[in-house]
This record gives sequence, C-alpha cells and structure tokens, in this order.
Amino acid sequence: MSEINPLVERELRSRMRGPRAYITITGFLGVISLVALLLYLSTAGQSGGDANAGPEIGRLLFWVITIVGLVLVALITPVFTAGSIVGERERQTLDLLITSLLSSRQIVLGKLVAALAFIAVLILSIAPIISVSFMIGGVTPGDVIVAFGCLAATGLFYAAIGLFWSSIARTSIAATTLALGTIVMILLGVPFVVVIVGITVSGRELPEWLGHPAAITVWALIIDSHPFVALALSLEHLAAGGDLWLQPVSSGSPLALVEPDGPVTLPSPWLMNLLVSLGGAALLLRASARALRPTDRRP
Amino acid sequence: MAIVTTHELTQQFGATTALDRLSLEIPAGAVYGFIGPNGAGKTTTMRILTTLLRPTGGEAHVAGYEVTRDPAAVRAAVGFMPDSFGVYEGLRAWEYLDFFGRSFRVAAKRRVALVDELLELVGLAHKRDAPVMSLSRGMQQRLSLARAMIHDPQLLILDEPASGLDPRARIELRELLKELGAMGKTIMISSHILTELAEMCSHIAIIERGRLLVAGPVERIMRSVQAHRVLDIRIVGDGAAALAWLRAQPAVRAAELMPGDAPDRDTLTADFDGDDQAQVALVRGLVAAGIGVLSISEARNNLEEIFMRITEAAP
Ligand SMILES: Nc1ncnc2c1ncn2[C@@H]1O[C@H](COP(=O)(O)OP(=O)(O)OP(=O)(O)O)[C@@H](O)[C@H]1O
Ligand SMILES: [Mg+2]
Repeated sequence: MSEINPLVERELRSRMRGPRAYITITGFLGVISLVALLLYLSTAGQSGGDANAGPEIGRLLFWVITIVGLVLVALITPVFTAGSIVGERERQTLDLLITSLLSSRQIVLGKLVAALAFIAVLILSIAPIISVSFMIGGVTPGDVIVAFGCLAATGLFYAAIGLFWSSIARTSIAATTLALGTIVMILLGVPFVVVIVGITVSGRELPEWLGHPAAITVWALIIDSHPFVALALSLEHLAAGGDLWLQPVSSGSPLALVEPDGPVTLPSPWLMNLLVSLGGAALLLRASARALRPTDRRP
Repeated sequence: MAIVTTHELTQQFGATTALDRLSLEIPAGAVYGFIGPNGAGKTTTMRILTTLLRPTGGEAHVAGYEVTRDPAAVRAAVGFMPDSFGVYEGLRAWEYLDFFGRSFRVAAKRRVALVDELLELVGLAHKRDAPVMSLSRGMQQRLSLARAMIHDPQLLILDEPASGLDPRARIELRELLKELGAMGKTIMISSHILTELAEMCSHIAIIERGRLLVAGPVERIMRSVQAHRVLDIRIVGDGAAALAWLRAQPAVRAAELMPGDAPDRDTLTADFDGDDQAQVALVRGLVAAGIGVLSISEARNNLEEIFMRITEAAP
C-alpha cells in the first residue's frame, strides 16, 4: 500500500487538535518530574560528602522513574485505546469504516498504531530524566535497555487489551472498566498465583516433571508476564553481573520449583515479558479484528 | 439487468422476524423507493445489502456478488448512507471526505479534485473548511451523501435520507437525487412516506413486517391502485335496498353499508373500478333506481391512502 493507514493520520490529527494530548503528556511528565525532584531533595540532604553516594542516588532515581513510568503507562495506555473502536460505535461511524475498503485488520491496526505513536511519545519523554540518572552514575546501558524494553512491551500489550475490549463493548465506559479490570487482574493475579504456588509446594514432595525445561519455561513465562516483576528480576540479574539477554536457571532459582533435569538457560525476564506481550497482543488484535467482521462466512 | 437481487432473505432477531423471505430485484439504473412503516425491516434489509449484518436465511447479491461470500467486492460497489450521521470532532468538511477517500483507496492525485467536485455537487463548496460538527442537519445529510459517493459506486443505498429535514431541505435533497439518477446511478432509498418518493422514483417496493407487499415500476403500481376509487354515497331511505342495487353493478367490486349520522340516513361505501364514464352512468343509475341520494363523494385517493390501504390489507 502506497499510503499510510488513513485512520492513523486522522486519529493523530484530531487527537493532537484537542487539549487532551497536551494535558496527558504534561500530567505524565509532571508526575515523573515531581517524584524525581522529591527523591533528589530527600537523598541529597542525607548523603553529603559520601563518595559512594553518586551511583547510589543515580540508581535509585533510575529505579523510581522507571517504575513510576511503568505504572503510568500501564494505566494510561488501556484508557487510551479502550475508547477507540467503541468510540466509533458511539459516534455511529463504525458502520462507515466497516463498509469502506478498510479491512477489519486495518481498522484495528490503524487504531493501535495511532495509540502506540502517542504512547511512544510518553515513553520517550522519560528519556531526558533517565539520562540524568545515567550521568549521576550507577546506571549501565543494559539497565536502560531493560527499562525501555519493559515500558514498550507493556505499552503494546496493554494497548491491545484496551483495543480488545473496545471492539466488544457497547459503551466507552464499559470498555475502559473492563480494560482496567483486566490489567488489575494481571498485576494482582500473577503475584497471587506465585504466592499460592509457593505456599502449596513448600515442604512437599513435587512431581519430577516440574524439572523439565518446558515446565520451567512455562513457569517463567507466568512470572515474567508481570512487567514489574520482570523489570526487577532483570535489573537485579544485571546488577549481580548477569547477562543482558540470557538467564541460567539453577537449582536455587525461584524459577526452579524442583531440581532442573539439566542446565536450562532462558531468555532474560524482560525478554520473556516481551515475548508474552507480543504473543498476547497478537491474539487480542486478531480477536478484535474478528469482532468487527459481521458477515464474512467462514468455511 | 438487476444490480440487487435478494432471494427469500430472512432475518431473525431472537423471536422477532425482522425479514420474512423477502425477494427483491432492483434493476440497474432504477431509483428504487423502499417504503414501509416503522419496524418494517427497511434498515435491516439495507444493513444486509451493505454487508453489516449476516442474514439468518436466504441470499442477497449486489452487483453480482453474494453479500456474505464476497463482502469486499460488495463494499466497492455500494455507497451507503445510514439513517444516522456519524461525525468526527475536529475534522473539517474536506478532511472528512478526504479521509473516506483514503479508506476507499482513491488515489491521492484524484482525491484532491474529487473532494471539491463532490462538495460542489452537494452544494457545500462554501463549507469546505468548516468543522463537520458545525454544519446544520441538512448540510450534514448532504455531506454524508457526498461521502457515500466518494468511490464512485454503482449503487447508492440511502436509509431515510430525508428524515429530520425541513421542507426546503427535502426539496433540495430530492433535486440532488434526481440529478444522481440522471447520472445513471442506481439508488435505493427508504422512507416511510410514500409521497416523498413517488415523484422521483422509477420503482417502488412496499414492505411491512418484513414481507414484501408490492413491488414494480412506479406507473404500474399507481395505475393499478388508482384505477379503483372509493365512493361514499349518503342516502335517505332504504339502505339495504340501495346496497343490493349497488352490489349488482358490474363495476362495483364491493359495497358496504355504514350507519348514517341520523336514523333515516345511511352511508354506503363502494369500491368502484370503472372509469369516469362508468361513474357517471352509476350516478344516473342510482337516481333512476329511485334511491334517495343526498350526496356522492370520492374518497381521497392520494398516495398516503394507497399506502395505508396496502399496508392495512396485509394480514
Ligand atoms: N439489532 C436488533 N436486535 C433486535 N431486533 C432488531 C434489531 N434490529 C432491528 N430489530 C427489529 O427488526 C424489526 C425491523 O427493524 P428495522 O430497523 O429494519 O425497521 P425499519 O423499517 O428500518 O423501521 P424504521 O422506519 O423505524 O427505521 C423491528 O421489529 C426491530 O425491532
Ligand atoms: Mg430504519
């Protein structure tokens, strides 16, 4: 196709014309800058003169900014996309899109790309603050890659969650509620499952198949589907001198419920998170496109 | 050649039968009036023809393509104007058309000129840069029509385009549609007001409760309904005898005795399908037969009434 998806241009054009985009970006940066400032003021007082303070402050600043950024992306993204398709329905323009030559896939992708373009602006707007922590010290390029990897993966996956509910729901409010509900379920549900499993297995004889590489991979995918957990695990792995891309699973690791059958090496938690996010997004986008297709008679 | 054919099209919404084995045929080049009261199934039919709804039974072909098997080809052949006008906040009139031009893959070179041509055609050239939201209802309606034509479809499907318009805007819309008809477009247009359409349509179909009542060229339908008139005859005297006399007349299809407004008065209604000469003969005959005729009047036999009669006669 010679031209870009017309939905992307229209979305960006009408979105950038309203005040909402500026308010969102300003609010986002406002919260992050405020947190950074408070943190800086509180630590700068305590550690005057300490030669090691620099890297410690830099690292703390980096962690806090990344986590606050991740919280904001996790909350803003789904709200952003949840209104997109159901909004067309409410404005009674969805029928016009469906009866055009845009395929349902193009409609969904157009909405996604427009939202991601905006999310990318949000995420990249953190870069200057992160670079401050980088200059203070204590932060490696690997840390920055992990941080942006988790932010991007979460932005994509949660945008797809919002879009999915948007393609099914009848009202924007319902779609937004369902999208946020799903995300809260993931963020609370994964730690809940891990804790429950931890309680259940402690002090018991476990079946040996749990040591199979496939079982370990599945368990790792579940744990790493939580972006905050994946972020923390990856950063700690790096800080302990680990590799940016790979993590060996040894018998002491929380990923190994029983003694692994043999040496197992998995992608780093943040890469696992990226995998889960890509896979989840792909499934949800397919389902969204299908929801827009009323009359295709499938064989 | 028919551009739209439906065969036993059926649409079930739970227990409601919105369309009941509807078979239609719209010849290419026709201006096809699709008429029925509220809830008759007009919108449902149009949504099936525009690939928005999957029928629960039967088949529909548009421009030779089956709507559920080849929706993309159907969409390319049809311009649809729904009964609601969807607006995008923050878009200007030309941007609105340009956006749909892209959505129909109209080449960029052609689009710029096309948008202006269409705005000109629907009389909105002066509103080119106005926000869509700021346009009046009638203007939005015309913009919507321009949108439906952005990909130069063979067939326009317009769902109650005149609803909510003032008389002047209706006339303008009618002129516009005539122009489009003259350009050779096939137009399917729905309404629950027959008079609104009869003048500009070449064909008419009347549906009620999902069933087709009549369909065909407009003159034929008019002729067949207008050929018979309803006469109201007020008399004094023996109503029963007058009724018997009327029923004996060959041009009287049916006659009935209504209670009159006074004890010795009666009103007879006769369904009469003779011509003017036959009607004159009937009046003479009534007098000659010694019936005390007070007055004879022809019941108004306009399109509304035809519509009412046809739709009431349905079971
Ligand atoms: N999505 C739906 N779910 C359930 N019933 C529906 C749905 N759409 C239409 N119906 C029913 O189908 C019947 C036909 O509706 P339709 O909208 O086609 O009528 P219409 O001829 O367009 O009427 P109007 O003149 O009011 O626009 C009605 O009884 C309506 O209640
Ligand atoms: Mg309708």
